[in-house]
Amino acid sequence: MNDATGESSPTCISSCWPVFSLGSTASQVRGRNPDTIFSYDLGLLSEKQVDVDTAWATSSILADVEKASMNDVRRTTNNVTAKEEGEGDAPDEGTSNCSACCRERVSSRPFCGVMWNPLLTSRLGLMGLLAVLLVIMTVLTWILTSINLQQSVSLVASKYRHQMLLHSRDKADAAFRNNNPSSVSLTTFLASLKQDSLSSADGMHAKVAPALFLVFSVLSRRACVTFFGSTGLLISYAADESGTYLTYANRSYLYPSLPQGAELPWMEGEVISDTRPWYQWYRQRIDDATGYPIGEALSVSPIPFWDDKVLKSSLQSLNGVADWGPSLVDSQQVLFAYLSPVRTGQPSDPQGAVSIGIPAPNINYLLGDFSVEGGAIFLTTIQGHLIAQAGRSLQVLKVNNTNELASQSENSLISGAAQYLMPHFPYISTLEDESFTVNKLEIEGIQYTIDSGPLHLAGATLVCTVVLPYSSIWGLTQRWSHITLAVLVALATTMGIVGCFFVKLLTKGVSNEMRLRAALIQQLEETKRAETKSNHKSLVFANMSHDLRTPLAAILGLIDLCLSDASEFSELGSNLLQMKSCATNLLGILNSILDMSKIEAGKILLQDSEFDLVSALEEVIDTFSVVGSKKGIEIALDLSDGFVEKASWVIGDVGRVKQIMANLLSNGVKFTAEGHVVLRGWIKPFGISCSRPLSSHRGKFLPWPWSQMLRSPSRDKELRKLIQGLSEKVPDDNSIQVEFEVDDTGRGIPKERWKSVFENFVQIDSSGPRNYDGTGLGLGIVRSLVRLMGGDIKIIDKDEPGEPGTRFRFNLIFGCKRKPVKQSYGDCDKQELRLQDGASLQEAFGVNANSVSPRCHSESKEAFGLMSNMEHNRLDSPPTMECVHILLAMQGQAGRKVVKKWMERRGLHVWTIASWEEIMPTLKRIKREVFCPSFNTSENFDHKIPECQIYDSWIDDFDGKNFARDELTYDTHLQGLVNYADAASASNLNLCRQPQGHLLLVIDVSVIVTTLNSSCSQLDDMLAESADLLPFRVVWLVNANTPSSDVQFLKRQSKTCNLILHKPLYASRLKCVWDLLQDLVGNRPHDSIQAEAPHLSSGNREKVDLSAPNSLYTSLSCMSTFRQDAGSLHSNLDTRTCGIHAHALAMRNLSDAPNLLPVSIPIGSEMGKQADQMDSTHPENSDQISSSRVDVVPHRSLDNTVNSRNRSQNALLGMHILVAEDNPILQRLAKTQLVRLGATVQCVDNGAEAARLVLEYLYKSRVSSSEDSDGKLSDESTNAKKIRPFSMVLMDCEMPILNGYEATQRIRNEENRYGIRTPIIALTAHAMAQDEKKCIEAGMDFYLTKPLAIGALLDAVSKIFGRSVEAP
Amino acid sequence: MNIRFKSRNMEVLRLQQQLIELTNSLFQEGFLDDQFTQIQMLQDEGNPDFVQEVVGLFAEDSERILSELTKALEMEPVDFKKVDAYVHQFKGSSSSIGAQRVKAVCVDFRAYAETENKEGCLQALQQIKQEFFAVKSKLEALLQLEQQILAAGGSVPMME
Repeated sequence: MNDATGESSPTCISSCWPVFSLGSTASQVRGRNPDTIFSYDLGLLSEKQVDVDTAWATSSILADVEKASMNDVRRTTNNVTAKEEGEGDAPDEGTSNCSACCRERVSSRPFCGVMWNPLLTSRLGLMGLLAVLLVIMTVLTWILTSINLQQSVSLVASKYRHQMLLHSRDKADAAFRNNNPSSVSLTTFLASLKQDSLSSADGMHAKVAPALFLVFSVLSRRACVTFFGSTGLLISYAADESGTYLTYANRSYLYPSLPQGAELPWMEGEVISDTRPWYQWYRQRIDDATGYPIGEALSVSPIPFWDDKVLKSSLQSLNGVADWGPSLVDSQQVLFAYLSPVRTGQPSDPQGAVSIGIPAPNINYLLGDFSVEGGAIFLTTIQGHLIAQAGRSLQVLKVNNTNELASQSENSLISGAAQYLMPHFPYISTLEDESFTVNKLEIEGIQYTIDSGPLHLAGATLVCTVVLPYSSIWGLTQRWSHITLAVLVALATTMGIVGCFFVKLLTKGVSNEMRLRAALIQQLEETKRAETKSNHKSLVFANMSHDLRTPLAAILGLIDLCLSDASEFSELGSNLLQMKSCATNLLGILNSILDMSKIEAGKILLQDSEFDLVSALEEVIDTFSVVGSKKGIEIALDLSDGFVEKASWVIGDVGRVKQIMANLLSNGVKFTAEGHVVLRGWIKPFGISCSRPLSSHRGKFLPWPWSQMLRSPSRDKELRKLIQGLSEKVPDDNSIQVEFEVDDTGRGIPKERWKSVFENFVQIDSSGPRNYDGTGLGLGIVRSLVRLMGGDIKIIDKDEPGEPGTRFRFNLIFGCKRKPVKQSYGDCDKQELRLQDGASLQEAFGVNANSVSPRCHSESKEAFGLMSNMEHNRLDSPPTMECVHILLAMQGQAGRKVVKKWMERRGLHVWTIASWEEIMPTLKRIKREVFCPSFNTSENFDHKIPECQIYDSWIDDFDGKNFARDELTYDTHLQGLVNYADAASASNLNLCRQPQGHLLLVIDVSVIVTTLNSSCSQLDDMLAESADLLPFRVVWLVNANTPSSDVQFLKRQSKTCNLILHKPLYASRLKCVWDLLQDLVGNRPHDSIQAEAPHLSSGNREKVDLSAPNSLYTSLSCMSTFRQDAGSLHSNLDTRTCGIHAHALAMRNLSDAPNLLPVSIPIGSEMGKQADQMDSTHPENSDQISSSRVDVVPHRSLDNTVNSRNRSQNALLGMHILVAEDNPILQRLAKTQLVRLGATVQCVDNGAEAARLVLEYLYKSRVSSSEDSDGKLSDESTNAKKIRPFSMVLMDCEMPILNGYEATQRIRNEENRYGIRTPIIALTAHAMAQDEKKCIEAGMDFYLTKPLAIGALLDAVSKIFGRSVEAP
Repeated sequence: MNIRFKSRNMEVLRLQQQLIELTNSLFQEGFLDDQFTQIQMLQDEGNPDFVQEVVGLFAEDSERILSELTKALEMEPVDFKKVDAYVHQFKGSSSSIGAQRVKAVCVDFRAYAETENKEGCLQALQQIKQEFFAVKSKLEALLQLEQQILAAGGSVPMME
């Protein structure tokens, strides 16, 4: 058994190790080539990996990982291919496919050589470990189960065999041993007999025979009991199948008659019948029970037994011998006999011997009890003579030949076993209890187990052998142990493979994850780096803003200056105009790029100020209406009433709002070929849904009220509560949400691109030919700005699905400081502000400041007073507008709708038409309405608003011709009624009351198809018919395309032209119409407006619109906006440039809309004169203006310097200014400049010194003012100035020792104790908005950029000191 | 360009012509900008040598800053904040005199200093020195010419 395990273990291990060392799986399978398995395995894995690769290839972030894993694949593939080539085996198809594909893939990639891969190592290590564990487990299991089993089985088996052996031996032993005591006692008995009874036949018969018979009968019948006399006497009892026989000799072989001593001794080689004829043996059948002879005594031939060796030796032995051999009595029989000598007298002379023998068949019978299937049990002598056998052949052995050896037995099993055992018999005979075992002796192809042991009988030793087939004991065990082993190995193999697979998977997963992480970290780092880089870039970019914009602004300004010189229609002029537009475009593009970079750099800051949102929108609309009318597109502004009331005065960044609007409108105009672009606006109550989640852009993108509220989390909570509480109304009145829509009828944007258009540099048409220019930044900037203002922008569906065009909707959040009371144009506060703006504007630009200024002041004040008066009138009187009919002849559906809506909200009856031909019929209808309302109502011709709307839509649907035709039928239909009405009015005075109707015609110049002249006269005729009955007014709408001659013509028409307005009609212009209406219905002095309106409007030589008060107002607000523009857009620029720019803008304004200020003012003073006269004075005025401009302009490109010199030679007279500046040059410059302006200057070069000086003077003056002896600065100073040592400090921000900010803070802290505040103007070379913020936060009052520009300084001074500085 | 002459003297005329050409070239080549014209305008009877004074100040200050810059850049490690501060100063003084090319280089220089690019800084320093000495020599030539004109009894023409 041990042999077997010893053999199997080494093979197992030795076949395992090579596999491990190859680093493959633990696929230890006997009889298979491990390499083949390896390649299969790798093929499988690499295939898998390729799949994974393909999946990953889509993800760009994993590019590195992929490369790495490709390396893996590559390596494994290399291995596989190398093996394939090396072995020359038929390669696995999967593997070859895979490797081919891998090769293909790898060849397309750079491969950086085979590197030592820690992953592979760890993988191999893990696999090896797993394999070792598995093998150990398998072997242990096998050993424990199989060996134990074998051992226990073999133990059981050996015991069984041993028992079997012992049993058979005992049986045999018992059989023989039974005989021994009988023979001994028989011998003893016989020895006691007298000698003569043993020596004579008679004596024997008498004495011996009964004793023998007794023993015979006691013993088994099979036994043979014999007494051999030494003289040849014999008595034997034996039995066979037929019965029991007595054999005896008749006398001694010695002749009986002879005297003693004369006997014939036995000679060697004697034949007994010849020599001793007297010696006879007889055999007689006897009775079993009694022993009496019952048959005849037959003579048998005697056998000379005395000559037998065995007998002789037994006679000489002490105790007798046992022997196997043929019977001495009956040679037919083989006996195993025990012979013992009988000694009566002398021990040396035995009388005979007693033999008790057992015949062979009887022994066989004993052994035959044990039957072993397929086995044998046999007894042999030491010499190898087969004594007995049992088992396979149970037949009685016919032992004829006593010398038969077991090895020559017929039974091949016995003979084989005996042959093997023969040499061992001597050894076996020496054994005691244990047995001699032979395992797996192969006899005739079958394995047998042989156990043999000795059987000691008196003197003789026999060998008992048990032969059993090996399989009968081990058969199943052996087979099952093999199966168990196989199963175990198979299991281990499977587990190994699976384990390796998992190891591979796991390690791959882990390594992939690690790689991914590494890649991610790398990516993050790179992103961070890239961000920093981009931030730097953006920062630098943003910082360059001023350097880039300065030259452009200068170019623009210069072009404007040149333009004013060049004659209008010369080639130079047109070239200059072109240059201007190019430069403006360039500036626009530059601005948008810079805005973008600013937004990216996070540098954009909203510059909040209070502004009029409505007028800002109107300005933008004005700008684009010019572009639109050139292109034939209608631009309309549609603001809700609430909007005008609430949102007209808000806090926000006006420049940015305008930029948003301008971007969207220009976008709309750009992409619209025909139709309209409408800007709508309305107040939107705060709701939860209205704004984006606030926390996501906390403070950064929100306008100031939010950003300030959002600074702390508790505030945030408050805000959230607040927002949730907001439902209908603005909660605390300090913010307002406005929603806008920009709606165009262009070609629209495909829905799937709605989101992407807001990305930077995205244009819808990027692929096609570039029909539209632009950088694609517009919408991106818009979105950023809208978000910055706390709103969001999106594209929404149009009302009707098929409608062309795009609709942008966005909301903005503005602050408003006050409760939004009903703002109106009569608001005194605002008016004053504007007035101030206007005044300071004039000062700032200094156009003819010296000459015009005083007049301007008085006149403008007068004008404003008048205006406010008018406004008050209007506000005070409730409108009685029910019977006002408005005939709106206007091209452009959108604009018409807006106007109509506006008027209908005010209870006016609006008749909208779109062509000139419709005017007449509509007038007739209106007349009927006015005069015969009862008839109309009775006839169900409803003239109320709903009807008008129907009518309106009706008109929209049909063209003029249709309308005319319908109108004709309508006319004839009504003719009778009208006639009746006329008749009634004539006959009945009650009915013919003073007509309550009023008529206002609003006529768009562009509806006129014939000449204006003829149209006017036509209109005149039409109106003349009803003039006496129906008071009317006519408003003409012009646009940018209207020839100026037409405008001039209209202005001359006193009757058919009461007001000329520019398209588009929006709120403030409609207000003019409203004013006119009020005048019409008699709510205000009739002639005042009639007198004013033509005069002032006639002052607009070309195209600046609006009626009297508003022209001034508009011009002022316009300029104030320009100033605001200048202030807000360019505050981060070099202020000097700003000055140029602002000036340039002002100049352009003047050239575009010349003599706005200068002309309107004289006209105002000459109020009351006839319009014609005014027209005649007009050229003079314009000449005057142009000449004055000619004076100013050619001197120098830097007009502002000249202007400032002109206007403010002594602007700073009497001021004591401290200049804190570390740069000597700047210091020198500033000093010189300030001294020129009349100031006294003291310079210091660091902040500490500056603070010290200021504070020193502060204390001093404090003391001196108490003593009332301040003589130093008292010349022209006010009382307030007396206690101010320095009128002003110019503070450089960055100085050694103490910088400007800190110095300012120090000064402010100290000053606070005295309750005074010295103005401090910051000077800085930085040009960013946040620097300004920093300055203001530090306590500075104003912010100027270096180098110091006088214009900007004076602006600042005038802001700080109010107007006092201008007229000291 | 309107040029006012006070003297018809040929020599003066030539010098004036030369001065105008020089001034024009200075403006056209971008050495100077309007700021310099402003400085020129500040020169009057009260401050007869204002321009010269300012130019002198500029040269003095700039040379000081340049030497400081050179020193600062030789230090190891380079204190870029300090460098930045110097360049800022230099930018201020150059822009106040209207030396716009110097100013432009200053802008680059600051960008380098902010990104702590020593290589770039050194390059920019070299460039700034070049520009500075160029503008200095031009200005000196200009002032000399003016002196000559004055000496010849003419008056300095004003650029309009």
